[in-house]
Amino acid sequence: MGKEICGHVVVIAAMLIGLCGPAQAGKAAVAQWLCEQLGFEPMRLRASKTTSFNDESGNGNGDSDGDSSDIEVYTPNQVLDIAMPRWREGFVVYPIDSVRDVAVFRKRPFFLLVAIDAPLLVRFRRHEKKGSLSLEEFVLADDRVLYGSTNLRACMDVADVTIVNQLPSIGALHAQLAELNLTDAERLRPAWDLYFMLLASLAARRSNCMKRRVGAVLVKKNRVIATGYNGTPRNTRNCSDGGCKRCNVNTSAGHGFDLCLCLHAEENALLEAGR
Amino acid sequence: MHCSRLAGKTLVSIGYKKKLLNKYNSERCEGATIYCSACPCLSCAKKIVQAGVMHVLYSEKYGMDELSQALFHEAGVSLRKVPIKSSYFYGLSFMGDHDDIANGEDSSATSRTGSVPASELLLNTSMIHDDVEQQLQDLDLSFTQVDC
Repeated sequence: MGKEICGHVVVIAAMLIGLCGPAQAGKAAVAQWLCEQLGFEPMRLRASKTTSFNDESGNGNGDSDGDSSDIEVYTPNQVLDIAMPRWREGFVVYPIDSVRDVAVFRKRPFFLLVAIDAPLLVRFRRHEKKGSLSLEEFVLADDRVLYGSTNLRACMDVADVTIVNQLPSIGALHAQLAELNLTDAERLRPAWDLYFMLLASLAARRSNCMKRRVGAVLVKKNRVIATGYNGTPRNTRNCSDGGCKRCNVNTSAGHGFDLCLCLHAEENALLEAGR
Repeated sequence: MHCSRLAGKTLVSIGYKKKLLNKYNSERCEGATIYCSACPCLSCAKKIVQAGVMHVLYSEKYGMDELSQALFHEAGVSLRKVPIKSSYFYGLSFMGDHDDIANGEDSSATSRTGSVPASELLLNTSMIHDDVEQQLQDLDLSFTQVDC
């Protein structure tokens, strides 16, 4: 799965990276870097109506993407049709600006959504170097893309990684990208320890103790035996409904423990395992 | 901070406690691993040891980590921190890393991994105040599921 680039073979990740972000944030620059440094293959997503102005050239100091009419564009499903049989290779698809498209890609375990963002004025300054929109026109177009029918803002909210590119030079962006290690396979799939720890954090969300959310997961041979979260015992009023006097009067630390009715997450997990 | 974490006592009656400890003596826990969102308190630590759990992993520190650590060490139970905060999946977690925030550590200003989307997004683009009020009413921010 190596690919020869600039005379040396680069081992690339089996990953489909999607890029989303507003105009002049640096999507094209990131895509270009992925292709040049990591041997990714670029795929342009067909532009939706709202992003017609979103014609950027990366960091604002790179070259233009070229004549966009020459570039082949794909629908999300076409991208998958091409990428699936070549799943050992890396692909970068951009610009993604619709949550519907994100949903199509996200079903696949080799997809990573990367948002590239930059402050509005920084992006406008980049636009000024070659564009002709006034600040107000730029903001108007930007708002349409971010909050319009495709809702780029929602895409960016669910990104796996967000890069804030207010870096002064393309070199600084490249250094940042190298450091990020975007193609780390663990970005796609958490290792066991992290997986169970995330389950524990979800259990914590069920906590009803007024003092702190805590969760625990009991595991044997990578199989879940039991989960637990903290709060008052069964058949009693939840701590958060006033069930535990001690927690509800904001007793200072180190006082009133004898009166606390809350079971700890760890206790609950152990109890559950013994049932 | 959890209500009774510093106590060393968590349960109401001694009888109940004994009953619970019998429950802990389950073969199912023998050699098991427990993942805790916060470092176990001393009271939980001794129950974890007694239950036969051999490995303890936690994400956030807590107020009595040294005491628990000493007990685990003596009992031959491993204790290791697996911080969600520094992982790629911080955005998927439901916890904040209190200790790291308290220490003034923060994620890089130039990049972050795993963004945390708000559960629901209220975009207030209306120019009319009544519309915002209606939106807020529809959202029902104070909704809580009624269960135990």
